[in-house]
Amino acid sequence: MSSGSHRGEARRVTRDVEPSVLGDLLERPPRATVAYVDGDEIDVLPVRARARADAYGFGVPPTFATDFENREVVLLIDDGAYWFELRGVSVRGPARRVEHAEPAEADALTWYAIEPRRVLAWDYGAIREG
Amino acid sequence: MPSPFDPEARAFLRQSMVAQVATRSANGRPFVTPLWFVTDGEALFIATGAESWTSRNVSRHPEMALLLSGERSGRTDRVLRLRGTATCHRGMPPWRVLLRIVRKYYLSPRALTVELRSIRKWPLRTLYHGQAKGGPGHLRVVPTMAVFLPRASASQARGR
Repeated sequence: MSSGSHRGEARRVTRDVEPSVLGDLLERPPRATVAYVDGDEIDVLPVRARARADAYGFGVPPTFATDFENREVVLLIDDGAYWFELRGVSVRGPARRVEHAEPAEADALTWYAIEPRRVLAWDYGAIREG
Repeated sequence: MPSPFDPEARAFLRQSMVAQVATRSANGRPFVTPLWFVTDGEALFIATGAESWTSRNVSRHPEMALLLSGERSGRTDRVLRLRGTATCHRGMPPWRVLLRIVRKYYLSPRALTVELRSIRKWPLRTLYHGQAKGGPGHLRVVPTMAVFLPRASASQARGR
């Protein structure tokens, strides 16, 4: 093993960031997805995401019949196509129906809040030795 | 419902850059992550580590669901959801697939711009990939079902 590769093994490189670093992404999520298990089947839906401070939620059109109440979901908010542009936030936790969404949103979508059990955020453009 | 490889679905796949790939863990919990992909015949090849969460999940539960956004289509009102069965493979994909990945994600004009702008970070990327447990891997997905879904857009949220 060369000294170069030895040094490489000793260095730890990360793309993980604090979610707050991705404020613009969370403010206007370009892509938002919810994954969940229905019976024995994995499923995924496009959703509208909302992230304020440490609170995460998502809205689904009423045409989607799935009730997410108390269901474990993973909300993925992500952006970018090329390596150094890829960034995102993933929030895992049970979903709770939100009865009082913001007035402008209340009529068109069914909203849920996530009780976050695990939040991960990454930004490949911010890759660095951690 | 379109076939996974009817002309409309194929066109949408060509216009999509990142797939949101959902899998089920060994203990039945949901998982989703954004991954690169290319098509090859009637299969999709997805780039991921040999021992990534997605690969481990697929080893136990081969069924997966994917969302594709058609980023290059200019349309933002719908997404394509695919269901399929995946197999997990260690190492790099076949050469023809690898070349498609390189052309799509590294050699397009936009990709080259991003790459050159980040040239000082290339060594860090090499180290980052080297850290991956199990080394490189890939998934081969055979889609079995496709459906276009409306995106829950801002305009929809405003009730227009």
